[in-house]
Amino acid sequence: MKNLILEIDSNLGDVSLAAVAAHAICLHAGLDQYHASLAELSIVEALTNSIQHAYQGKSGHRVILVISVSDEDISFDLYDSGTPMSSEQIEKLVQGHGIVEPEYSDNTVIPENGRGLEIIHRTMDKVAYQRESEQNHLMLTLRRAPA
Amino acid sequence: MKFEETLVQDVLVLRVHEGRIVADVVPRFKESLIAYAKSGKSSIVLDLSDVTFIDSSGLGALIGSLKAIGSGGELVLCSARDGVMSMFKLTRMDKVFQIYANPESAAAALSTRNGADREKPHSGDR
Repeated sequence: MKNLILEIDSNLGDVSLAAVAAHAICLHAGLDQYHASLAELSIVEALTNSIQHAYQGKSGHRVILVISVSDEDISFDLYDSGTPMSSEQIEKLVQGHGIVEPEYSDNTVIPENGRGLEIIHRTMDKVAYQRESEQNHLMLTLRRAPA
Repeated sequence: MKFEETLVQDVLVLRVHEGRIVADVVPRFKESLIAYAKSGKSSIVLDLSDVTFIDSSGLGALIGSLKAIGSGGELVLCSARDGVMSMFKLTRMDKVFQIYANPESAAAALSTRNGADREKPHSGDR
């Protein structure tokens, strides 16, 4: 198992730094461009969620991303010390909630927000969340080889 | 946020000069697009050829702009790269937005529709 630990400030402008690094590592680990882009998207959504919801958009707090590569998986562990995720958010993340499912006949009813957790749910092979010692710990896993 | 404005077949084409449409730039992106919509530009082609990445907040800004334009106008997209198209397909927003291969085909489609609308008789006409 090889690990890379990245730390960014809770500033939306810094999210891309970590996400681009995650994309490059996915490519290095053998994922194709499509799946590496989806992994990057999930990391952007997860980090943005942490900054906007756990830290209410305030900078000056630590957000840590640990990327681990094994023979089977690439895992992304995100840590922050902000507000815990609600049970409703955890359910959306782990179970999915189908916001991307409907086909809208009326553009005025299409939601503008609320897709981030669903995107993570759909793009990762395994998703879990734990509150540990005053920290939020989001665990995202991608298989390296097709099932 | 800066857009490069061109007129193609009398349709306004806005080329987005931003590589990543993500949460830190989305407020400016949305504000600029809505300003175009409110200035009376009811048919807009958004050229995404320079956009390499878009997240859910960027998608939300596009949806908000679509709503701002309303039923009296149109916002269509063109030149989306593979990674950006993946996002639209993943969220099924490729069913909401019309996405064309290039600005010319997008403008031609809007121009044709606008022309057809102009030729429609008013409800009171006989």
